[in-house]
Amino acid sequence: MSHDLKLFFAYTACTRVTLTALEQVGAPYDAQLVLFEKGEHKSPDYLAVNPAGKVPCLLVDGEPLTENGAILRWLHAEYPDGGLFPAASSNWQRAQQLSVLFWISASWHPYVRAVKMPMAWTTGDIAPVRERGGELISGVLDRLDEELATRRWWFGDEWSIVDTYFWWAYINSEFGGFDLSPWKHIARHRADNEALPQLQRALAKEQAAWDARKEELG
Amino acid sequence: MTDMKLYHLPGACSRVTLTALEQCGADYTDEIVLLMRGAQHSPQYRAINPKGKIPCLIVDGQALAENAAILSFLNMEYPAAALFPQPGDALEAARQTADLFALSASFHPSVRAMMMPVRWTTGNPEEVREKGRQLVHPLLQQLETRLATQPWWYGGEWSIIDSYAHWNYTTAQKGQFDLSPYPNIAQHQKRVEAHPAYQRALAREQAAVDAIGGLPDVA
Repeated sequence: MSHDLKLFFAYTACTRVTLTALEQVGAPYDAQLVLFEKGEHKSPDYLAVNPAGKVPCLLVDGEPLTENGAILRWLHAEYPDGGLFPAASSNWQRAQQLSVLFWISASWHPYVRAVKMPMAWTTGDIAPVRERGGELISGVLDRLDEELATRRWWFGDEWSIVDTYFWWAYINSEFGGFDLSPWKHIARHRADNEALPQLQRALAKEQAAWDARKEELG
Repeated sequence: MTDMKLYHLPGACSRVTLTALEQCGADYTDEIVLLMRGAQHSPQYRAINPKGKIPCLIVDGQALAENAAILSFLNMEYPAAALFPQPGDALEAARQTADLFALSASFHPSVRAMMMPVRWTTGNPEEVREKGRQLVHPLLQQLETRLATQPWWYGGEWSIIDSYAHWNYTTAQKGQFDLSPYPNIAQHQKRVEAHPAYQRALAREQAAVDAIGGLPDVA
């Protein structure tokens, strides 16, 4: 089934994962950079698309779908041969695939925010928020590293989109000054992710959109 | 039939999971995990759920973590329980999933900033609580607007999303958030608390508390 797709994304945001998913399934799509740096996410035009003022937002035949994890599952449902998730033969397996997405979005992502953008969690001193964020992210990195000690990708021998979602989360904690070097299996997983053509295409698309408009920021 | 057990703590977001199990009419056992005593980090519990979190649903000896994933699983297994309205198409189904992401990944962490600000800082919790108040406010504004024209999140019928939203704003209220400027939410709160599945979930929580001779005081 063919849809008219348009993704609203931001530079270096978790929309990198959504862009990678779109590249992976090979569906034609438009993509528009939302310049948070210029407050475009709070503009009337964008709030008309997504009243929550967040990215990603995918327009499906003109209808908005929000929340990264929900977009990834919708893409998987529409493009089941796209390789975003392993084939599931039971509700239990489908629920386990959802569980890892909820883990990343509801635990990893807020923890990464504490490290990278600690002002998102306080009106005051950011250093103690960053410190707590480091403790929280260490806990989930330990869990991921343990799992990646036993297999190449989260679900086994084959890449899935959750691997790139993990990648986005841990490299963003590094952008926040967090040292990832103690987690050896994650270092290997990172290199494997960064060699993926679908991720490289997504990053090139993001960079081109940014380069085309960065002068507006002065 | 399957053998199910829920690990939970009365008052935690596992109350929503219990409500779902009750709505489904599921046959299950349950066990309290005393987060206030750090029981989620014990070797025994880590062997069950290595993430050290609740809720966790055990089905035939295997663990499923993350509240929203458990709710989705129960919805797939018990379609007649109507935890969600029947979606018309794949996009509508995805939007129901999006609502679960919004509640678990935006609402819940913001509420945590109010209810348990020390989770987000090693420093002054009041500055985190104030930020939490700022984060929760627009989320409640959106909910207040939604409930202006309909009694439940999706319209005319209760769904488990109503219980999840209720848990979030009621927990914010416990964290000193003033709900009085939101009259539609106040009405919604009464409706959710009168729902039979919610009542049974509370009774189940109380029975679990009684079985261990009461909850320890939170320091």
